[in-house]
Amino acid sequence: MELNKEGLIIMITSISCATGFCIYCITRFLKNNTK
Amino acid sequence: MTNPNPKEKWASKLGLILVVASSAIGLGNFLRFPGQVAKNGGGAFMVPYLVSFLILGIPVCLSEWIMGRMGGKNGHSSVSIFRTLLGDGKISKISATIAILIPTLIYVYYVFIEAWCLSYAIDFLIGNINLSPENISPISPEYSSEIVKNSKNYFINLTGASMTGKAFETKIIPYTLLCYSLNYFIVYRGLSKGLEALAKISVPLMLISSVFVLIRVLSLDGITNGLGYMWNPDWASLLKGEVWVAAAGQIFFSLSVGFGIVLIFTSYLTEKDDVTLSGITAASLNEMVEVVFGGMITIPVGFLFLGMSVASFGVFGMGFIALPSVFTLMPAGRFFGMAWFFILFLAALTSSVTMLQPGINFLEEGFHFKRKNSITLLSSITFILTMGIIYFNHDFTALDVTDFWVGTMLIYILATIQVLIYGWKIGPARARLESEKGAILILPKFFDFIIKYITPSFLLIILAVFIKQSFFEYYNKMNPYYWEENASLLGVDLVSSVEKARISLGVFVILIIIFILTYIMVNFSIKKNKGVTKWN
Repeated sequence: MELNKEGLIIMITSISCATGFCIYCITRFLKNNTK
Repeated sequence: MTNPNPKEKWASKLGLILVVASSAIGLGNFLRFPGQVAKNGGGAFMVPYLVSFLILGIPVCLSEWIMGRMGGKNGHSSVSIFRTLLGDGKISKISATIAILIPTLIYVYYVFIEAWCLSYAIDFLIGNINLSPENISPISPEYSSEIVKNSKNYFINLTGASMTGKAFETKIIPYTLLCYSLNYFIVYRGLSKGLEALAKISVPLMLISSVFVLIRVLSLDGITNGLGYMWNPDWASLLKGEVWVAAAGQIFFSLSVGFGIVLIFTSYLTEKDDVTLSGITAASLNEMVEVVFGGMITIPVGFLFLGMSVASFGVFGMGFIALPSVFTLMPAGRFFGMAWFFILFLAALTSSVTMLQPGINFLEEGFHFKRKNSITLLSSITFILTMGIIYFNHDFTALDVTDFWVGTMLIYILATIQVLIYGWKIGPARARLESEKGAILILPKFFDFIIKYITPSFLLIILAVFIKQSFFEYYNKMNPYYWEENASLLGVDLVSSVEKARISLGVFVILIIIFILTYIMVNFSIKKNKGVTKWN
């Protein structure tokens, strides 16, 4: 079952969103706690 | 009532976030999530999953962080927190009892599972696992199915699941003792030197090890087939109600909401501390691990080596039968098997060390026990119960029944109580004002509507569907007469099924007795410690 275009887009979007959201939260948290 | 242990506090706010996140990151992220995605529409599952995260996960998670801080004005036990929020009524006592029992009783069987992970990690490290079949060529079509058969036998032998009492003859007992000692040592060191120090080391270690295993998995020839099996969407599945319920259930268990642990940990925060961004950050870290590592490793690699049969394994089957088989078939699999089970062990350990804290705080505050005595007493009681779970491990019966009543039903109930307290007792507008004290992130006003109406409705729908799907199954599991009448009709062994039903019933009765005793203790501690000021 080869990874199709839709699957690839969903996979990349999900991973990017989950990672991006986590990095955003941690960065914002650290910025406010190291002032 | 004053806090009897004022020295206990978090060394840093980041440390608290890591402890809460590592408490939530467990086997569900690595084993349950990928199975749910593959079974419920592949990539299409991410739509209900995201919706559930927004209207169920985030609201319940934030309500715990906000109410924990509000409830921590008089102390840091579940009793103090619910008394501060609700007063001394029956609902407050029942909620406190459930909040003490959930983590303590989950600890009882979770350490046993932790011992499996440690045992597999060490066995892979020293080369003690040999699942390759003799006399069958590796190019033969039966080769992989023979490995799976050997893997299943290995797992059953290790856990002693073939018959009652068998586990006492296996090496899982010393591994369980080792895990108990490790947990005792870490919990004894306290919040900042024990739990926080462990989370600061183990979370980065877990992430680095996971990246390492992920790189290896993505470099395997033909892995795009496994990724296709996992991620190719079946949009028609979005029209099925059970897919939405499965997504909500996954979010619920993944974030570990309704466990009673976050309430305790956040009760140490002051009004100068942020709770909104901190809560969301802990949830986001858990989600990142789940989607990236849970979504890219287990099912893709399992499909690549075992084909479509990978979907037939449950959570335990996937973790302890399918994956050891995959590592046997994979080049350099021994090393990656060790790394993988080390990750699972760390995930389990960072969760289990947080589970005794509600019980410890209850004994310290309610009965003025010293920390050492409360840890020793609680560890001794849970150890005796764990031995019971291990002894009656025929087909994982005692573990399964405890997990259903405590690890599922009680968690649903506590989460629903918490959301109702937040939305209907305190009121979302007042709770939002409380959340703004020290906040880095201000909650939008529409959050009030979601947590008052949408989240409780969603929770009640899931609870109703869950009861419809599983309640009667477990009710029958506890009924020996049902099996005496239906064993032959269902094609199962009469003696074995009646024995398992008696074990299930016995476990249920013990759980009821423990609940009543804890409720009496909660009642007694309230009479002994008067003078609680309410949050408002």
